[in-house]
Amino acid sequence: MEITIREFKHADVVTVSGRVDSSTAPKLDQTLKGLMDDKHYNIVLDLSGVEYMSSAGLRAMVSCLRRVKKGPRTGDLRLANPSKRVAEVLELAGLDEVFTVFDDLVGAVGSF
Amino acid sequence: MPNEQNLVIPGQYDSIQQACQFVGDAAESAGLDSQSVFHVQLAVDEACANIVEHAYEGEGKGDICITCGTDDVREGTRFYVRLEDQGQPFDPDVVATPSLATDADELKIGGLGMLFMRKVMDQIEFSFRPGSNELVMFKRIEEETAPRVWHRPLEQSVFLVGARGRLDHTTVLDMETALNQLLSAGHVQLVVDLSQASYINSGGLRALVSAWRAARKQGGDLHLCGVHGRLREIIEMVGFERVFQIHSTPSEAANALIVPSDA
Repeated sequence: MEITIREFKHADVVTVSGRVDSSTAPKLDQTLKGLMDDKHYNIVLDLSGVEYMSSAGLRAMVSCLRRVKKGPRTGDLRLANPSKRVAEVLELAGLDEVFTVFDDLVGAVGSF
Repeated sequence: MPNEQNLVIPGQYDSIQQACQFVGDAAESAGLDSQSVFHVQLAVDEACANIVEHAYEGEGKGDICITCGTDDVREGTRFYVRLEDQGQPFDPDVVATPSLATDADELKIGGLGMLFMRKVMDQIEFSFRPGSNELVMFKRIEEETAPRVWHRPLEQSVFLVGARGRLDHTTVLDMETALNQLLSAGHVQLVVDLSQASYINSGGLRALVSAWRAARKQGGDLHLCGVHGRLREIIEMVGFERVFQIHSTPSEAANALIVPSDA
């Protein structure tokens, strides 16, 4: 799994690729926590390069969502470009209703 | 069961992917379509992660033994995966609190893995004996949608072509097409896996020989594996065991192709 972060004016884009499973999810979790520790609460997770995601990855995403929603300054974690498989996993968990999901990165970044 | 395959991995998170790969390959060979293969891999991933977390309560405390195969029940053929560990028993229903919620604040994320396993598999069974836990998961094989011929990269430059059921008529054409596609794409190190095939006609034998010849002409080779029972009889009847190198498993065949034994 690879992670890169790009800062935009209104949101940060975290691009993840590869497999997000129980062995790699802690790295995603730490990356997201690091952003929030630096008071970045508007985050777009670009999932276009994610070939596989298990519940461990969802757990990291949900704990981030919970924290950005709580504040102190309220933000959001929005998702862009999930593959068919990742979209299915989100749906299985009932999280497709919880996260705002965009088909393209520009739309996700522009939504902030 | 004669068609069972087995793998033991250490109970560590970074070993689980190996289990998923192993089970995925077996599920594909057994005739599951690509979405069902993904479901089986997801269920095995979640089950192994649960074993490490709840049964062993940490990494490096013990092994996970994975066995998969197929069995026939009244409804048809099923693919099954059995996971065994020596950790402490854990109550699946305690872990299994459903985590569906519409509000992020109410989300309980524990138990998601178990929820996935229940949703994507047709049936799951737990049993706990002193010193050993066992989980068996089943997935039905839809005969109509299952591909009869498939191919995939095996190891390094080696590709595998697999075929299921009776190798005659259209199945032979499908196999020829798969072999020709690989050969014309420059993949000349080939393994044909016949472990799921029950019969091969003379057209099928011709297709194998002409692919073997084409592969060798381009500096490659074609080996067979999983030749059993009736199929072995047919192959020996026409003397093909002298033409083809025959191995018991795909990985054995791949190794032989990667390191040719000229001796």
